[in-house]
Amino acid sequence: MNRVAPFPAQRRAESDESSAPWDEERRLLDAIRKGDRAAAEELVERTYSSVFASLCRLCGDNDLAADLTQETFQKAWAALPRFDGRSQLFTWLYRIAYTTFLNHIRRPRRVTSLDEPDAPEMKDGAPGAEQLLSDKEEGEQLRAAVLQLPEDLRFTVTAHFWGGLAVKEIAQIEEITTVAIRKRLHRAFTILEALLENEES
Amino acid sequence: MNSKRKADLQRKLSLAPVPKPPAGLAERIKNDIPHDLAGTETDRARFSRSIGFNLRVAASVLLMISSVYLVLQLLSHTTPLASPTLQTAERKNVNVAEAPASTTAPPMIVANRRADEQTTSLMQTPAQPPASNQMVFAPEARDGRAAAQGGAIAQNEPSRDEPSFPTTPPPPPAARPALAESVPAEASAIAPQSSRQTTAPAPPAATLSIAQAPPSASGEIASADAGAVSPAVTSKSAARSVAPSKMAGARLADSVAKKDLDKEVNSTLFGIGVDPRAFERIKLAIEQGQQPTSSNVNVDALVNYFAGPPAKEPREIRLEAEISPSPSSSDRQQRLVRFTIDTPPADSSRHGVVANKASISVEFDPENVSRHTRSGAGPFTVASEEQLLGDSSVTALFELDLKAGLRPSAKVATIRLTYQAINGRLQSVERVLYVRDSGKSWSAASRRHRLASLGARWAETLKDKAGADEVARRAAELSRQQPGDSRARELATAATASSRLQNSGRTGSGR
Repeated sequence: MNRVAPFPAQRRAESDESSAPWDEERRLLDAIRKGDRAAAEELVERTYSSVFASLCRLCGDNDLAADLTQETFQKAWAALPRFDGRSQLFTWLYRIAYTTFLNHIRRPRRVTSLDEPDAPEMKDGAPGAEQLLSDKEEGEQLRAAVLQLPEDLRFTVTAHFWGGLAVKEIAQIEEITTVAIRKRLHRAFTILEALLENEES
Repeated sequence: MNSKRKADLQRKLSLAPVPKPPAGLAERIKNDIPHDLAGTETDRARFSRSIGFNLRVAASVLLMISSVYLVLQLLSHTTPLASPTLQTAERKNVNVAEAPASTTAPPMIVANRRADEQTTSLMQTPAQPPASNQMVFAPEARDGRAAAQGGAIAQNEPSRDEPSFPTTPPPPPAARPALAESVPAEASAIAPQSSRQTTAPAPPAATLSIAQAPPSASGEIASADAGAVSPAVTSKSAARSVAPSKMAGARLADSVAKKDLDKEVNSTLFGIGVDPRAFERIKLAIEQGQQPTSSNVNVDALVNYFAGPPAKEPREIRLEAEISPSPSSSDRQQRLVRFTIDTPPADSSRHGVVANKASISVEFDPENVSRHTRSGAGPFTVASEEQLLGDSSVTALFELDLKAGLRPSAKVATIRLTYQAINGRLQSVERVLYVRDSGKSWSAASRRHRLASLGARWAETLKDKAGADEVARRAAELSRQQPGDSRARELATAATASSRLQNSGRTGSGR
């Protein structure tokens, strides 16, 4: 189990700042639109693990994350004609994945209440070392706290830390400035701290 | 908030553990890649072009109509000899105005599949001779979707040059379409609905098209014998199941094949019975003090009747899947699984078809499910339909036993619907049910799920099993929770009545 996710955004930031990755995406997109199935499969190979990782962090369940990942790509194929290419492919995919996750938790009878202390994911954890269990519980608490944030803050935090999107990309999606995004992050941390302190007490 | 705490939070958020994707996930995702990826861009461009083209055509038509109107106005002011023509035109316009539908459309019979009344109508073409002796009326519709597109025309007297036609009386309680919405009468729950049936002819078909009738024909009423014609479900046979009248001189277009009109239409969808008259038959038997015979109890059809249509019209083909504990069994491992397919309203230009080559499959995980059976029928794995009509719903219910000691994340069933959309693209919708989706009790399930399962349970009690009282009690509770839902009220009343019949020891024929 990796402790650090290989975020596509980070990879892009670390790499040469030339437009090569962007051109590569453009090439892939054009090929897919021309009906190149191999290009579509390449897109899947490049992005599915990141989408899965993001969804896994959001929902805390591997199986559910796998289903939501599959659903995300199904929606992506349908939405491809409307994708104008202004944002990066993964940014666009993450938006779809996030919406898919939200739709899932809003579905009646598929909601795992974040208030329930005995949420299935907690009971379902594999037995492990005490430290691992403690880390897992802490992770669950953090996840639950993040999901309690107001919608705009929640999306910003999850997109940045769990989706690996850069502040600039999130600003583009939300159609606000990067300064506003940073302010959101600051507010989110304040609220998270308060939520976690309440939890601990 | 101090910077150390902030940094700590950032670190924890960034270093959240990331598990590897499960094996096979990439393959599953790749399998979902549509076959027609290239159609995406073409569709968009085509759509834009068609919008522009349609607007241009509409503008041209408007311009033409206004020009013709202006010319007529000018002629009426300047030319006295034009009066007879104008009178004729006016009479034609009056005739046309009598028919509530469009005057430019050819005669058509339209059947709505969700209304509980047949909204069939036959429109008269503008070329028809003046028919002052004609009666025009539009059938009532229970909901907006069933709005009549014309009025049925019953001819009272033949015109001079035409043969005499028998007047066709309003049809008897006509066959409702198999997937009609089950909205019963607000009066007594067990009351025949025949009085609410439209007086228009009642073909159970989907959309039918009849080409323009010749001027000498004054119209035609398709007489439907409720006993002879079963509700239509599938589009191919449904589109052709209208019995022609015996009127001479009326000709049907080729799109309505006379030979198909007398066929009894299959009342199933994906092999699942959806006959909406099933409940009516049972209701009638109970009213007559007779316990329905086992052969008359169609469990599938009752499940579908009480599952009913969706609360909101879907915008696309929708697959619902749900799992819950069983309502009556004390066995904690027993579950009910339901799937429902709802189709959106269809474009009349496509004869009501919303999809082709549809296939539904249900797979239960043998590692977690020890037994499964479909309520009222045999095993069900895969079923297909050549065409799916719009405004349709079909529900299937399964009873199953889970193995003991399962984790909440254990998979129970995978339900997959595939079809070819109207634009040719292959679509696939999949629903996976896990143990955790089951919920703690049957009462937490959706209303549709509970009604469908109660319908199935009641059907079983009609087949000489106990438990009708329990069904009546639960249905009454559902009815109290939502007084506007007449299905629950109907079920409660019917179950109470059948329970009394069973207790009083009356027997019907065949029991």
